[in-house]
Amino acid sequence: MDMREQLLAILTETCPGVDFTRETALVDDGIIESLDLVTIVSEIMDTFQVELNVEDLLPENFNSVDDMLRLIRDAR
Amino acid sequence: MEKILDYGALAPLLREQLRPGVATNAVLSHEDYVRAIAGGGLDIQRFDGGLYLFLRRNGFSRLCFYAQQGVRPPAPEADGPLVMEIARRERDTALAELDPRWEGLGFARLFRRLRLKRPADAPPPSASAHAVRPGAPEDQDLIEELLERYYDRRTGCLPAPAELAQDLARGQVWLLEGDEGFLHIAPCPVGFQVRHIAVDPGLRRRGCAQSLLSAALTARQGQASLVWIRDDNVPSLGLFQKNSYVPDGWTSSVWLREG
Repeated sequence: MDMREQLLAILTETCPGVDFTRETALVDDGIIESLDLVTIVSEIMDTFQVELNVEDLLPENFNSVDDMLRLIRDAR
Repeated sequence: MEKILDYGALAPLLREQLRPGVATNAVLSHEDYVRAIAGGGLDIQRFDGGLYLFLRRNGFSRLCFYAQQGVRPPAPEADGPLVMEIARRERDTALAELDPRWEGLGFARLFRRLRLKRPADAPPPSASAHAVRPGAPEDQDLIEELLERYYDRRTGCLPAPAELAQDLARGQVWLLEGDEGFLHIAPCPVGFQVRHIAVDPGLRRRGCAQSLLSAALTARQGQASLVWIRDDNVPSLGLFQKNSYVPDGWTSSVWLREG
């Protein structure tokens, strides 16, 4: 599985029923909530072996799959 | 307990808690933590598999926690009253499983809240039957007094003076003419959240709350909005449901442990 597929698996597990390949305002539209961000960040840190912080829990880092992939790459 | 003096000391402790399966009610932003630390009001308690955060308020502390999967949190080491709010959906089972633990630690559940959401494309509200005016910075003392009068300071999520000043400056408060009621909103990711709404008891059931809500909805037309309502507050639930708000699956429990 490549990084995108791994991330999609995490997101689908956390927030079932969302088409993450299309959404570009996941936080701004309330599809992902603060509590989900904690889960997603925890899974991302564990899966991709990166260190993220509370400061990273910003809407602009989680509004789309591409935003999250960028955050992961920057943290590596 | 340890007092946190700078965010640099807190960040690694928070990061350490971000592990798969963690249960938490700590959804504070970086800015929230920085503000709490700057005010000298943040203490922590570390324990095996978790962390407590005590946000000091006037006469009580707000308790936030992280508990790793399967961990039973210990008794919080705090003398004064502790207030804890836990918001979750049905699928957030790890949080639900901790409820008996909080009871065992001396917390009593005070009440539950439901979250209601109004979509951005909801029909416009009815016209205001009562005169409503936007709040202004010079209304700060009045709004603080109304908040104290109508909300419990421990569970009412009262804004700090600086926060209220900002909200007034940004046009996020409306008042009934005669100052016998007000409504306060704050921005949130989907649009805005109704933070407080109150009307003098002598004026209730006359459409005053509807007038306040209509003023806010008209001013923020095109935005979605949220509100948390106590599940036993039937008049308030009726008001919001009449204005196209519907429960969105989030509930919260407010817990208190007296000191």
